[in-house]
Amino acid sequence: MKWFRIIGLQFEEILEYKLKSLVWLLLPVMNNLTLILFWTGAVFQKGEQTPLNSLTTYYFLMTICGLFLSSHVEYEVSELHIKRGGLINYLLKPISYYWMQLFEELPHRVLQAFYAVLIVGCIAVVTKSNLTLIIRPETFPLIVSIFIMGYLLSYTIKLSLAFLAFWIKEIGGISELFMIVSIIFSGGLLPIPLYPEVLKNIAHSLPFIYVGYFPVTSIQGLYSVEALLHILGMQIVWYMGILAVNRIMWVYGLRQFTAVGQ
Amino acid sequence: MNIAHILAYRVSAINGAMASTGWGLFQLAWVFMLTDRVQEVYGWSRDELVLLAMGYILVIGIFHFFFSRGFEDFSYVVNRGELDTYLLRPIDTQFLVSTLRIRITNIVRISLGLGSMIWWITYRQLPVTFEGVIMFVILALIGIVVIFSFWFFFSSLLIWYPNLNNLSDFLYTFNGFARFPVEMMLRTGNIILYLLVPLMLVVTVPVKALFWEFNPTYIFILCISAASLFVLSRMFWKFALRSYTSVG
Repeated sequence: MKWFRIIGLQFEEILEYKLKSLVWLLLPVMNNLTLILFWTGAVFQKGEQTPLNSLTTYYFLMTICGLFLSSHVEYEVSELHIKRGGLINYLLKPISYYWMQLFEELPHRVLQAFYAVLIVGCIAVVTKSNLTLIIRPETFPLIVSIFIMGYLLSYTIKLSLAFLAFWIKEIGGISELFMIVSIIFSGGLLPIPLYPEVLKNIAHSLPFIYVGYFPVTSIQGLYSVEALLHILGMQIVWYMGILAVNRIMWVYGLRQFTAVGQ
Repeated sequence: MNIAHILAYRVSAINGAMASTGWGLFQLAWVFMLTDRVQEVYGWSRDELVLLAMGYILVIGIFHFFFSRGFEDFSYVVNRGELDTYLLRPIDTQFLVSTLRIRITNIVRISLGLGSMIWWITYRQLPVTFEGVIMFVILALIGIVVIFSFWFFFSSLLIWYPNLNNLSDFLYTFNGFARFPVEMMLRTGNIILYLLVPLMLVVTVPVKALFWEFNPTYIFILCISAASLFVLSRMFWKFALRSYTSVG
């Protein structure tokens, strides 16, 4: 029951600051729409086949999935909780900090994704874009699981990044560099198969691809049940590994925490 | 004063330099990846598109060096009712608010933009003339006035909505339109998107001038936009100040 209460309170807060929420929503919408417009006017090299319809669907879905799956917990945790000492309020509560933060952030993601569906839907109708979604009954539970794991993975990665603030006071620069790397290797610029070979290989060896590219392409119907199971398995492996690192950082980080701010 | 600030907050300065370098390199990676498989986009060749992205790094780097830090702090200044201290000083408030804090670490981004442009022009042996470089500088400065005016216009909204502290994030993304060829918006036929045309001319016009290619209509729109947007942003700022309560 307490988790529902936490989620409810967060929804109240988001609805209090509607304009701020709208601004966060507009950022990926603007970015991805300009990329669609860019590809509309592109003349490809001879032999290159990149169907515009598939790219449009990809960017529309990337907008929605990006808002839903990309956690942005790092500023609040590193700056407000660790650097300014607000963490003490959470430590005194009989609730896991990991889950508390997750349930505090989840309403933001859900609401933003909901708004994004409305806006992207309107844009798709106005521009007469043909979006192709293929979700079969046998793949539906797997796709839902991939989305849940995608969010958990993104959240745990960002929380671990924020925990660096236990040792480094100012993580703004690292956080921005991290964001750049994650945009590139999650498929935020282009679908991964269109990347140069080297970058494609790097992308497949990092966890970001399981937060962006694979969830998006899974609802485009690109994978068989076996392939979806493989993606889900890899997400779980990455999640367990990063969660282990996260727990170690938490235990050792708390020893650095003075509760009076830094 | 700004150098003293950097020396006092060294870790913050290192962070700023890292972020600045990162975003500059991101722009380069972005354009090379996007143009890897294309011959041309909206009539722009790959060489021109790459130079456009590099020109964007340079122009935006200069803008961020002088202005963006002041705009970023603006929400906090208004929210805490501290704008009074600026209004009471015997200097133009619009100038003071936007330039009090400059971001020296952006020198890295400016160097990256300039260096990559010189490298690309010489590596690809692009036909750039000295006169073209002079025109690039003049038109880029006019372009910066356009960006400044847009930022100031939107930032004035903070007088009414001081909690909107993510407005600067929006404006950073808004700047991104300047990375693309202006023809991209013109071919949409959408009147609302035409409002973005002045912003998209900020880098495209100077980059075309490097090759001594001039579109009189684009230059006219850029100059008129710079003058009118500057006046408009100033009027809007003064209008917004009437609603400032000075209590945060």
